[in-house]
Amino acid sequence: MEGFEGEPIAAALHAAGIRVLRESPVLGRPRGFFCAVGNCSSCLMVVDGVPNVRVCVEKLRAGMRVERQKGKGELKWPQSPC
Amino acid sequence: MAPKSLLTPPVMVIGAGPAGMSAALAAADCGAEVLLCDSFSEPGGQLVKQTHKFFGSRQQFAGVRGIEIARLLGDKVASHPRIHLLLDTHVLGYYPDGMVTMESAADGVARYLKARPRRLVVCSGAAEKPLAFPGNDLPGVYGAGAVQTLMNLHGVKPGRRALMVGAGNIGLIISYQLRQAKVEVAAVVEAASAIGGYAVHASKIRRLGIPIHTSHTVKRAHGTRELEGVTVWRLDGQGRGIPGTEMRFEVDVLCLAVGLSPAAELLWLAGCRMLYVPELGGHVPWHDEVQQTSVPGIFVAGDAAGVEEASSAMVTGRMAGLAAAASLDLGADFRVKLEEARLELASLRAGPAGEKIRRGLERLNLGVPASGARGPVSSTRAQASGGGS
Amino acid sequence: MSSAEGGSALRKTGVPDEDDVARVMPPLEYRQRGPVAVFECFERIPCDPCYRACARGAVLPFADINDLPRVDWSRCNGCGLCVAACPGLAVFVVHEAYSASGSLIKLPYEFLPLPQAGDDVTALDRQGCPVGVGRVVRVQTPRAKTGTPVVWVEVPRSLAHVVRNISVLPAADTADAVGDSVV
Repeated sequence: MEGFEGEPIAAALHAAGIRVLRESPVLGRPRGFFCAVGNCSSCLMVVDGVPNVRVCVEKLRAGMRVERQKGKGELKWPQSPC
Repeated sequence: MAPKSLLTPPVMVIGAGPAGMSAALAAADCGAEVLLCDSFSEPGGQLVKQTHKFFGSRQQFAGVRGIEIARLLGDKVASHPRIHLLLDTHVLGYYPDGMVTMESAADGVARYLKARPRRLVVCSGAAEKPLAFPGNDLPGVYGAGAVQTLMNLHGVKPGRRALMVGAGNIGLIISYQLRQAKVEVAAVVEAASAIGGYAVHASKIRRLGIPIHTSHTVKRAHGTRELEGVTVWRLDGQGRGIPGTEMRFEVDVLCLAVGLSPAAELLWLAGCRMLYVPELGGHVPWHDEVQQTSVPGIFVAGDAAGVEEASSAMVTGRMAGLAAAASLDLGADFRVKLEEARLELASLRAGPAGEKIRRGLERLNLGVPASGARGPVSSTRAQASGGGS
Repeated sequence: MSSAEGGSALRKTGVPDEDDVARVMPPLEYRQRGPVAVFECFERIPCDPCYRACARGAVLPFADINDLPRVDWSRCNGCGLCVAACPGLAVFVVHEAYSASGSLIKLPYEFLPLPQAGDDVTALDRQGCPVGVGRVVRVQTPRAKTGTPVVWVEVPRSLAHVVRNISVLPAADTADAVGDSVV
């Protein structure tokens, strides 16, 4: 898939006809973006393995892997202590 | 230039929209050093997607498109020697000891910054209100501002055919912009019995053949995975839907332009006295005539102080910036500039279009004259070159 | 914002009625003299760029920025600067006696593609309904990219005060599909 470097991921997906971005945690309802400015948490996707990324503000980079998030996502804590 | 991790600016302005930029410029022009930050990667706030021409008077860039105003003010703040502009910087919180914390990605690397400003001007704007109806979470149901961002900022068509909810200025203007982007607009529905936005905006979209249905609202949004259609119905005198009056529109975009709420979270955190004022959009911090909140040294301007217009945001921002700088004993005489701003604001709010704002401000005990206040902005040609900063 | 100066119909429908239009119509003697500006501005809002734009002093200084524009018709030559300047796109220049059978309307048009001189376009009324065919006489593109283009369109004389918009598509494609069913 192609987009413009630096545009929000959600805009590139939208231009490619993809509007369903994730599934809601309890009922699995399809969700897309709503506010487009990073306020509402509707557009959360898994980007390069990191969940809960607000794709309406996150900028697109070449080689990114973007996946629909099912539910609340899985946080992987770093191995080394803080 | 990598910012230090603890910043101590004399004046800090949060939000670089029309209010924040005006506040920063006003304070910096008076000699104050200003830290101006914004979470987005360019200054301008909502202006960056507003392709329509502004109203007001010359001082508020009447006749100039929002995107141009964003460029004009953005260039000024970026080049001002006393304004330190931090973009891609999200304010996280305000602490009782006066510390403001931020996450800044200004150099492409995420950094945690702290600032303890002497004066703080909060210009965090407003957020779109949602609307509750079955199907309101379907992809394709968007805030009207989101549709505007997608079209005007990112150049992406939101869909093929849209229904607009809300006939305030935002709903009317964005309906027009949808048509400019060659997206069909099936109709505008408005729950109230009259059109809330300017008549000229309504007339403009009626001339495009877009119907406006007052006393109507959304009954439900339909679709399996995405929006496919919307059913609206008429409301009775008590605001209840009337069975039998349903109309269905086949649309793939439903825009909700049902109002804005001040994004006043930082003011809550700062312990400002907050009031619920429906005319101003919701919870707002109490503020005095020069935009100072109940916490000395903390000012508020723009939509965060009460949802109004960009033209008013520029003036309340200027007022707050002047007042913040004035309280720093920089030696400049602020009285004339503050009075100019006050008169300009009164003039903008004096007509029938300002009635709601005036009522809202009365609840903050800020009386504004209802009859036309003569201000420098409506002067004859001879005085046209003076005034304003 | 309940700031209606226009009739309550304007507040409900967004379309000025005959009385609204009559109230802002320039006097007959000026309409017969040549092109003249018609300010379809009915509501008191803070706005005065028409005054700033007029190079002939035909729009009088605003005592209160919320006032409706007041015009000295003797000074108006229908140049159309106000048409391009109005943020509400509410000003039109009408030359009733433009040709033997046609009137000329100068209207603001912010859509692409822009028509070209010589094109036939669909003439629309204040409700966006097609009422006839217009011939584009001239298209003034603004010097600044952010300005508003002004299209000069000739319409039959009877439509001089009816046509307030155009569509560059054929009439059949003009209005949004009215294929919505009533449940």
